[in-house]
Amino acid sequence: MANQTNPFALVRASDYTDVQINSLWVELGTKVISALIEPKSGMSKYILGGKGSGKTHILRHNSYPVARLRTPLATGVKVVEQLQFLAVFLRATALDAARFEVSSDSASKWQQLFGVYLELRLAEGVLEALCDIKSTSPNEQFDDEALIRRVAESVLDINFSTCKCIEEARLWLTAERRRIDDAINNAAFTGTLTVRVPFSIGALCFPMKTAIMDWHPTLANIPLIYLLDEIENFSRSQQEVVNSLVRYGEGRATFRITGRLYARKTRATIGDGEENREGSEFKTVILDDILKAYPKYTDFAKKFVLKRLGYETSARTVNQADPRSYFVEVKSDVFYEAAFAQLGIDPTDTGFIKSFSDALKAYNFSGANPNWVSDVVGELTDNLPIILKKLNLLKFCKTLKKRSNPSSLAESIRKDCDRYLHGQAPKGSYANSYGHYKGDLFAQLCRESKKVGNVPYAGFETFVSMSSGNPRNLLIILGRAYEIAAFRELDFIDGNPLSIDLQTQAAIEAARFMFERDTNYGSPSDVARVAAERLAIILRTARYSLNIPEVSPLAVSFSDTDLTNESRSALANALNYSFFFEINEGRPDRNSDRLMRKVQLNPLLSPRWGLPIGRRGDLSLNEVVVNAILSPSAKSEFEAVLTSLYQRWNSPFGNQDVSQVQNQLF
Amino acid sequence: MDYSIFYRRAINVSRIDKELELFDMLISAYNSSERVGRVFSDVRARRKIWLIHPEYLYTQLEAPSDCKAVAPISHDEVEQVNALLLEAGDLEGLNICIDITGFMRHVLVFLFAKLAYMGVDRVSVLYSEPISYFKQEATNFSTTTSGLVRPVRGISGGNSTQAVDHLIIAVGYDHKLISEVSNFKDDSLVHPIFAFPSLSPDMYQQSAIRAAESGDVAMRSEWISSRRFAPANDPFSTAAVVSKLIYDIDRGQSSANIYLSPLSTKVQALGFTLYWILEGKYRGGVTILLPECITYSRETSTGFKRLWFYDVELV
Repeated sequence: MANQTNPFALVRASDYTDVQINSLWVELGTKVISALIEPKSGMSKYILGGKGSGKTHILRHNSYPVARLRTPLATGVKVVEQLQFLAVFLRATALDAARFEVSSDSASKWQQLFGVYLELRLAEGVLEALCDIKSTSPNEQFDDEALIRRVAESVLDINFSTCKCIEEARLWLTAERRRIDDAINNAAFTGTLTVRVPFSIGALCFPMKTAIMDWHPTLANIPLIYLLDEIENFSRSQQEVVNSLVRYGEGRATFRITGRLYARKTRATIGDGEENREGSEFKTVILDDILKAYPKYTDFAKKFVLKRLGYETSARTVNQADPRSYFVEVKSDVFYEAAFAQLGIDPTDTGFIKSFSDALKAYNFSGANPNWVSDVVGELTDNLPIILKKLNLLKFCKTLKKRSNPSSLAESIRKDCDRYLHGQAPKGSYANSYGHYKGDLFAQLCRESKKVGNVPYAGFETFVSMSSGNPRNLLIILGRAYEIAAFRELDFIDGNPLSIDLQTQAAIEAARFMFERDTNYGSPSDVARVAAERLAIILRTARYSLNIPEVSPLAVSFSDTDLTNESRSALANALNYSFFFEINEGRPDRNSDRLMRKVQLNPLLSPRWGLPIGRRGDLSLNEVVVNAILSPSAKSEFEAVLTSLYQRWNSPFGNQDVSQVQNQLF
Repeated sequence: MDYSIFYRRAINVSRIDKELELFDMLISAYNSSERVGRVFSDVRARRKIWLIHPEYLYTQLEAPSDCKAVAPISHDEVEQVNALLLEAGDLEGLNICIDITGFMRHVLVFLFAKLAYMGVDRVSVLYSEPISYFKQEATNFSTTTSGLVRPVRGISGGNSTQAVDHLIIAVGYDHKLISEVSNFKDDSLVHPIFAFPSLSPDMYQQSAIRAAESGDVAMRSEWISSRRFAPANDPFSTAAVVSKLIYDIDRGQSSANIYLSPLSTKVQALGFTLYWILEGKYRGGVTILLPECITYSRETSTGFKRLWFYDVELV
């Protein structure tokens, strides 16, 4: 294994050759993909999603050059006939679009030139496909002259109208594109943009559709689709061009456009024209949401892994065929008894009791006997599994109110605990509490252990869950696990399963990779990183506090109206780069009708801060706290907020001065 | 093109005024490094001009007052170079010396391309080497980038829509820049050029450590298999390595689109530019691609180890 190439190495769709796109594509199912692309729809569509969500894959999978490779022996005409659409693919980065953004010159002139250049590139894609169709369909008749005649009605250039065949027309397109390249380069040196454009925006890529109808009867009713990838690489004014094409293309040619979640910078059309509207001019689908909700994602992930290993159809053993067997799992039954032994945690190490006792001394219990603190602690913790000791302390923190009697509360909790422990109350409040908090309490014990230190992240299904429906995230973790094992000459696929410790190392490394190395897009990603780190620190403070404020703290909610512009922008960046996930569209607050937003940290990042990988509730943040987290300039405000929250969550029995401050915060 | 015929030599740093001839004009980009200031004061020239890049964020009070200083506001390389050349005036027949040490890369690239366009056939170039970088492998050079990766103005163009893109990166300490460029051109085949021999023996190791942080590009097999080396302090050898690499690419596949991204020393940025001026421009389909920096560290190094003189011919 040590000498083999990492089977989980990251490979992006853009890296694949057209042949690989077809062979490596683990089918989400043709129906799912078809529903995403909607090739028959006369309306353009945005397909938005995070890195690795498969945007490029889906587009390229549907493009003519890739589709035709699925049936290499068929004629080009037959391929299109079977597909029932003709789609051409263009990556936004291929245009080097920043060349068209020149601050010192007329913006509209450059915008027009960009539009013409974009259409030339799209039309080149169409003619490349048509040339292939023609060359692979020797028994068909194609009317090249009719096609050229039709396009020449709106492309006013004698060199084009005198083309004799589509191959010549294709050369004309390339020559025009290079002429513009040269003009742009020269403009940098001369200060003047001198270029004649042979058509206006929309006059090439739309007539192409009717021209194709004239070209061959079989293609007469075939929709023409332009697949435009990574729209975030176009500026606002360039997106206005795309929006105009989307708006005016209906009925002739449509677009399927992919990008990050916040890839769209504007909905306006050229020249302050009308804005495109969702549902009228375009539709939007969020790929991340579809993948996260995909019910068979675990099966998909297994197949995906087996395909990577080449075991999809050739696994020699039962173990090879089931990725779950590659990893040791944390055993949570019998109050984590086996897990503590697995990890080497000493169940008699109960240092946390002292922190609780110290905090409890702050409680004003008048009339109690002098030993009431140790009595309460004994009641809650004596002769119990360590995790139940912790749970009892937590329940006590959560239940003790002003003027209630600590001793009787402790007795009541102990009674519930004993009933649960002896199987007399397998359901009910205590069992629910254990079910909710056991993960957090186990994490606390691991963290407090001198031997372990890290919270374990182990098991294939844990990794699948951490990947949040994104196969690339799964590859990041498995790739790290493979590297770590290979370095130690361990073969966890064909040999013994990988230990919890090494899996945890892999998960931490994967989080580091995503956070530090894989998301460098300049200052917008730097801002997002600061916001993610601050949110994670708050969540960590919550999870490892004495009085854990929320079960499995991974999500927060806040009012959209509380956000400053700076915070809103940082939030958009954090969502855009998948540090955060938005849990749902805004929901109105029942009391005030304010738009509430709920976001969670990407669980792939959780191991970096020892956070849970699944969420239950959400921490509600007020205006001060949410802006201290999100606003990059609020460094000192964040530190103050953090200190206050720490004290609040670790002084549940009254630290008067602090609680006054905290009341203002929440 | 045989780049070995170009002339370079090391200058004794304590004898700069004696070993270098008197120039008609010295142009240097101002920053807070000791070596930049020393070269500017020790080189003998009839006129000396500071270019103060807006990326360094110097205020008017901080700007040098000993000589004429050009301080463009725009980050755009065309505007920065135009402002500099406006101040420089007629260059015809002048013996010009440019210290490239403090230059922003995009301005450096465009300046030499523009000089070639203007018909300047020869420029004396200086580059001063530091003894070390402040924080070794943890040194940050570009402090903020806009997130936009774009061609240097005037230096772009694709050959074929069907052709594979090849991204040739001169690998330096700025792993975030490497990551930005490779993310932007993530459909390209990557050819890293490591600066070796480096300016000092430890710097190669430091840059390799930093480059390994560049994200998935550093984990691809071609990061190892396609690796090439060019001396950190020799623009001509660097140009020759780029030239040979593109020759090899063209042998395998004609009309490939080439993207050059010089992210290591300024000397290598000059080497990449020389290749474009002397060969790439005529080949076509060669683009010099850089992340757009908003701010840049004023001082990243200590000491003044060595000064290099390069006799750069642009035609």
